[in-house]
Amino acid sequence: MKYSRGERVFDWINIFVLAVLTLLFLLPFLSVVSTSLISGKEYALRGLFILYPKEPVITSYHLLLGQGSLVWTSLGVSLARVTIGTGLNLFLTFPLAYVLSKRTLYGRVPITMFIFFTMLFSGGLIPNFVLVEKLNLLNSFWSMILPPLINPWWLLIMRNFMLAIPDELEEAAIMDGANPLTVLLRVYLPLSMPVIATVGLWYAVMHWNSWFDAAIYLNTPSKFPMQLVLRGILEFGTGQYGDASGLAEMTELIDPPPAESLKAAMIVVTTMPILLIYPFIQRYFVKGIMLGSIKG
Amino acid sequence: MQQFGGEHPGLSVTPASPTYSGRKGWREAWRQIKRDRFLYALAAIPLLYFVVFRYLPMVGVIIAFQDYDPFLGITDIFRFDRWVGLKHFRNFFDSIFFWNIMRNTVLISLYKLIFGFPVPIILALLINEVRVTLFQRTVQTISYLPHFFSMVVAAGIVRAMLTPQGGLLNQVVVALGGQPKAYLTDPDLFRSIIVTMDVWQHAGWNSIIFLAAMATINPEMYEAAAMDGANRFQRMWHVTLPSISFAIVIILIFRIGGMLDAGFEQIILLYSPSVFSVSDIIDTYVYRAGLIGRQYSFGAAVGLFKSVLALALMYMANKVSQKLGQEGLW
Amino acid sequence: MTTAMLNRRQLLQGMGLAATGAALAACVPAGAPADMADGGEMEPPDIWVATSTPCPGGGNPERTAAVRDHLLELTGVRVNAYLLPPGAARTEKLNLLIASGTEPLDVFEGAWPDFKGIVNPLDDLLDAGGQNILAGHSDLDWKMMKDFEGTTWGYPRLGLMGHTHFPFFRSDWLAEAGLDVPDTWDGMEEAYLAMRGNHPEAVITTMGRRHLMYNTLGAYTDHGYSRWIDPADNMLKPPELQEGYPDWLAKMNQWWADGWLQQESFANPDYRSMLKTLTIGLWLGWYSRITGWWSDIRRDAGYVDEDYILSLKIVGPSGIAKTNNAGSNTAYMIARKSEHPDAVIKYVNWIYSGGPDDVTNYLIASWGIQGEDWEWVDKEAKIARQFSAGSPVCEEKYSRDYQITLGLGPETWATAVKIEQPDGSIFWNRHWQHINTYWNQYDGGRMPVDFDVPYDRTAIRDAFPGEVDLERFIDEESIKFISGDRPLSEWSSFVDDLSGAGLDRWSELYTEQFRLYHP
Repeated sequence: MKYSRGERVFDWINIFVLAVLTLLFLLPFLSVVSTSLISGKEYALRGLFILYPKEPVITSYHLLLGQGSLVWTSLGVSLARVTIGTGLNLFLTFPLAYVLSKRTLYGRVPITMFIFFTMLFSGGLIPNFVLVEKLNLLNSFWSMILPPLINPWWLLIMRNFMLAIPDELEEAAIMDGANPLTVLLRVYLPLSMPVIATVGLWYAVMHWNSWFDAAIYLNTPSKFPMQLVLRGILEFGTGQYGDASGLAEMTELIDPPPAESLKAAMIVVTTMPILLIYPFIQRYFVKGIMLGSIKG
Repeated sequence: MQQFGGEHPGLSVTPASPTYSGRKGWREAWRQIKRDRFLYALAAIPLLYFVVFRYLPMVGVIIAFQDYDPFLGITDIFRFDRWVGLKHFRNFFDSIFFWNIMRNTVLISLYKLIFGFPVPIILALLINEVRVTLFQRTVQTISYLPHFFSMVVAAGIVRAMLTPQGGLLNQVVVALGGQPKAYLTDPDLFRSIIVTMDVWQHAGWNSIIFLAAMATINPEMYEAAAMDGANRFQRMWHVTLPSISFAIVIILIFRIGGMLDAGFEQIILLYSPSVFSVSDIIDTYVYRAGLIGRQYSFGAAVGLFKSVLALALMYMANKVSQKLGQEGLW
Repeated sequence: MTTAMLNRRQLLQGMGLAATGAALAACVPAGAPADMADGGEMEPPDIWVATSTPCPGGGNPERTAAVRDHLLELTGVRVNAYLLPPGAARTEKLNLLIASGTEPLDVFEGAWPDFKGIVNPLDDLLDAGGQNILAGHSDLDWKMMKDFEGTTWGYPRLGLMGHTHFPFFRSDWLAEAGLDVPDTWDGMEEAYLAMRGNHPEAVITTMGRRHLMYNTLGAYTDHGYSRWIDPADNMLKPPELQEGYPDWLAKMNQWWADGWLQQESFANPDYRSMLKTLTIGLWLGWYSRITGWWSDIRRDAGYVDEDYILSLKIVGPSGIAKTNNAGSNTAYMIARKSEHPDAVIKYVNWIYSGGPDDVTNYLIASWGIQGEDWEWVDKEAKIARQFSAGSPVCEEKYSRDYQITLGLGPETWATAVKIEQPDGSIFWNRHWQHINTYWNQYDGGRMPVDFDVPYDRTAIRDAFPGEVDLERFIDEESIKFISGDRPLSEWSSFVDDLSGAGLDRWSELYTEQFRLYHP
């Protein structure tokens, strides 16, 4: 395709707009990275926004990652949680989404309603705790995996993507003698890769960021995921909800909060790994993936 | 130009699931179930999950009608001597701030919807139009960085921008000859700040699903449009947007269902008495009520109230979307 | 659990019979039923504690295990910890642990009236084995632990505190203006004006209305920041209904209008960043921002002249400006489901055992093993040297998992400890120094009228759910009066609105509880 002059102007304006937006998204993060690289002295002397370290030091990272096994153990737990959790999430979500996308399925609407209902109504923390307790999952790795096994919102989004896949493709495959399993794996799986990648990313990030369930269900520190070990420290002594909670204030009677650069280093350490996943997912966002997979 | 939209399968109107009645109907139903036994088998385990992990704990909503105290027996929720009927609902409705809280919740959500919903779509459209792959991927990755800040950190960044004591914005204002101002304590600005922060933090992240939808568009449709002489804007408007409308609609319905969650953590970290009148939402109110004592039942009652309203909202949104010929929730 | 016990037993056997016998004999008080393990060997009692530390993931696992073994040897009690997460999840986790039928939990902290039904009365247990705990607290502290019938429900965590609020002045700016530390309200205002004259950016900052009231309300009212008995009807009223409160609002409004008060004083800004800007001339908030955060910044930045100095007592038109912090009825309690309440008391009593003069046991429970994690340089002078205990990183140290005597008592006594630095200098943390000096200095402030009443606030909130509305209403409108968004001429209509919001019910409920303790 040849591009007209107007098209090229559009391209440049588009790139300019996106570059400005990107800067807005990037600067705060840069500031966090820079803060993680400065000394206590520099922190005390610099202004509110630190865009670049004058004398970069890696003390914080050294403190955080250099000694002891806790961070590394918890990183292992987090990685296991993300891979096993996300794998099981998709293993169950994708087939159910497929089933619900069959318009001729008897009972499709009641089943959808049955699932939809769980988006809005839940019993709250206590019954969930009791359930996990009764299933003997307290202080078990699986207490972080099983309760969030299928997210109904994401399931229905995936289903709507699959509804958008033309039925003719399935009919053609059946004509060629494919059984239902082959249709699922050979037709729907490749065609759904963009949404599977997206929903998979959502699940992965959910597993990576979660710490509340771990905090409630787990008791042994060696089983804690990284977010519980590190992210909690960020909130210690910040009087997180302000003046309202008296006790938070009282508990800082003696404990000082950790240095700002250490906190910043924790943010970087907990954010980086999940960011690295995205490039792998982007390859499923290429235009025309649907066409390519059909032809292939 | 409309034809391009019409070509996309997502727009085809769905026939409602077949319904049958009478003896003949049952036989026909059984025939269909037998035909689709593979599908039912596939759905069995996932549905079992919903029964065990989603429906079993749901009996817990009963505590909304009790004075439940977990210390008196955590599993003991069927004790009728603790039954108080609608007391907790009444307590909530009787609050002198009830209407203020409802108004704030709905308004903040509505603003977040009006501004926060289109921005990711526009961002996805712009990113989708970039032809330099490396730039495209870089922008995409960076755009979702702010989503990964915990709310405590994100709120800290916003405070640092806005404080009159050396904040970035006020430095600019002073350089331009203005007076420094505590923006976060201004009732006229508070909601705008909250909404802007929300858009900034989540626009990139929320655009991912639309980019995924765009990946399913058949490139031949763009070529056909270009042949017809459609320019870039016309192609975005007449090809891209209609082709991802199935994703737009369902996400819009979900967002409407979330209208009563206006962003608890964000608000509680940034609000203060000066802006209570425009910022106190259902969840911050429940939080403050629960600071003293164990308000499990009160929290459950308010939660149930929110769920019922959300159900009504989503039901209506779904009806509208079906009227417009879109694939809705069911 | 089983494997842990087994390992433990094997270890004990390896230690030699004599030592084992001594430790185990000490663990079971006479008359208490002993746990008999296989072969007639006695198992030490396990107790489970819920603690929150700055390390939500715990400390170094090996150090923690070593400290646990060490504590067993010293006390005959095997301590196990649940680490509570930070923030809002903390209360949830604690409540679930307490309520759970399967998770053992012996001791936890909270406001005791909330837990009265599910914790052990401590009177007999303390009499039997808690002499050091009993001796470690004042009668007033214990009074806050008792219901009006005299039953003790916990041992003190927080209580009346003299150290939490002082006006802190920029000392170099005072010196520059040739002024002494003020001790009167007018002197305070003059000092601020003088600072402002030299430094136009100087501001007064607080941390919300509550802290400002702790520091200043006494200057304009009869009772300071305290509920008070209205002689007109003999009922308890909120501090805001004192006669002088509108005068105080007028004064604060004047400060606000003249640009004295930092504009975010009531909006919870980032105080650390604000301290860095060196613009705070007068601090009227919670003490630790100065004694902790500021002293860190000052040290890191290498400031020499720049510093803050507190004024012990400010006297205003109506008397002493400050009100002492009545703290709360926050206590450590022993769950009724506990299998070894006597072992809990035994362990805690051991931590208390040296009294204020010898905090060795407290330091072992907090810092770890003496000689490995830390050691005394000079026990008499209370100078210690920290090894792993001084690390800022959780992974390197034992992170206080088994410490269940925070707050009043041993933690406060331990603030007397000075630390020898690697270069040989002796460092007394300013924060500790402050607590150690002022925690029981109540003369600089007023005593709240009801400082000795351990209210059951949950019962009050159950009976009057509108309390949360009342709180918001008072807070919101007070700030409007201060910032001038509402003129003080509307004061009487505000009071009328308060009545409409259920003020009488509030008074009734608080008075009722107050009268239980002050018939």
